[in-house]
Amino acid sequence: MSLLDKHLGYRAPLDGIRAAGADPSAVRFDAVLSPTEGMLDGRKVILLGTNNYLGLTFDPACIEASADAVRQWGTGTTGSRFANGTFAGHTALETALAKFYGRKHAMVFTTGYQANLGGISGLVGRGDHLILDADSHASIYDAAKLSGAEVIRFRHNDPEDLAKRLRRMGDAAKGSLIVVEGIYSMIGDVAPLKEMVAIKKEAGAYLLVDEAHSMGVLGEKGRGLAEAAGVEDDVDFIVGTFSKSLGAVGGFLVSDEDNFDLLRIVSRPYMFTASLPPAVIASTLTALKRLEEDSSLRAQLAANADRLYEGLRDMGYAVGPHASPITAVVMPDQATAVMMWNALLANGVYLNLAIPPATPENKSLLRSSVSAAHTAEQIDAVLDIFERLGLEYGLLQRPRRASA
Amino acid sequence: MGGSSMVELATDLTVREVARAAETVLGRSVQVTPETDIARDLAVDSLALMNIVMELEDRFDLSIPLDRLATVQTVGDLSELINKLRVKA
Ligand SMILES: Cc1ncc(COP(=O)(O)O)c(C=O)c1O
Repeated sequence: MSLLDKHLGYRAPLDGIRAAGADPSAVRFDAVLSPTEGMLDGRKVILLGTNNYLGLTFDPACIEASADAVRQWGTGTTGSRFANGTFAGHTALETALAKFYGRKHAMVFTTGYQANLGGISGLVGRGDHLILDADSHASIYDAAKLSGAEVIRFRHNDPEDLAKRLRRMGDAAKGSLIVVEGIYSMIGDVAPLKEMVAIKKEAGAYLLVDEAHSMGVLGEKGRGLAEAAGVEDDVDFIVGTFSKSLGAVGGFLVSDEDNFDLLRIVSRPYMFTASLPPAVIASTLTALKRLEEDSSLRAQLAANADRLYEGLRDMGYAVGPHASPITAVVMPDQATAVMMWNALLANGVYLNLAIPPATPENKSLLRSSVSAAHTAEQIDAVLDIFERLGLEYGLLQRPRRASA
Repeated sequence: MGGSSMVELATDLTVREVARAAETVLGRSVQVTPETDIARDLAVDSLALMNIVMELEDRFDLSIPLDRLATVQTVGDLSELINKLRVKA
């Protein structure tokens, strides 16, 4: 009898996946060459699942800023802001984020995961009500647990269902916190934010939008779904991450709420962990500037997203409801998903194998995310491989180009 | 004792609704008694349980906060929780 015995239910599925020759948890890169290419076992592979939406991980200005900061400030802060103090970069980044979103306040966390954990658990607690989309990210569910609030889920992206559940709550709906995501990370679908804002206003609830996958991706200025939907004034809190479009690690919360500064002394995932190292802060600050100043990155990202999504859809693959930098190809079952994932990797395409229980509706998905840094040639190469393998494994009916 | 058999009847009906909700979510038929362990006997993981709860909220037109599930292990526990919330509602 061991403490780990309770997890033995996962042994057979994991061994099954390994027996099929794949272990997504053990892909080991010898080198990363660019935002879109890595070396695996001496072979070049196209990176197609990295969330590196703007391709800024190798941006020369970001790298320079990061290198300067590490020389000037050292490799780490070795503690929390409360204990070891705030470095100039932390404040500069918080100021820049608040300005970018046009909000009074911003607060930086060590990861996006902790931004949800610390933001949400700082906003609601025992006796409060938290209303979550059923397909919320794990960090939002964990935040709910940490908060101790009463949690009600509504059906994914379904405003009517949200309204119904709020109605059911009666007086408790007023002052509750609704949490949704800009772009959902598995399928790439977007929340119907306009409708949800109307419902939230009617109920007198607060709204928090996690723009993890939509910052730098949606909206004319790249502020995310709230900007794209034209409802920023009615979104009370925005959470985001530095680990996707900004190419580093970390997270944030912005808002106009009074007494925001109190969160810094009540939010445990903010207080009881080391703050971000100066090098990360510096590259993030520079990446945010790049995001703000260079809208061509967003345009290129959208063009690449369309190219991949339309290519896969027109071939006959089952994909999400609309083009988005995240495109998930629905596989008929887990075994096929594992087989395809392996075959894609063997052919030089690395993307995410997403299987239950991490996926909506227990689907098995090949989840891809494109970057502004992908070339049209790379995307076409990916499409060719998808088509060839799809035909080989009987997932597609006919050659695409023959019928075009 | 009429009172206690009324309670048993209500519990019985709730147990039956839990079974139906589970069948809707799981897409297979299930046999349950109040003693059925939801995770072990029905192979229901935490996500499926949350989906069953959502289904039950609609069937009973009731809010069932997820934090209340911490003490729910058996179908009987879940039915009891629902009956308690119904009285309050
Ligand atoms: C919707 C959402 N929120 C939060 C996070 C957590 O962000 P991070 O990985 O930067 O901690 C992620 C990604 O992992 C996410 O997809």
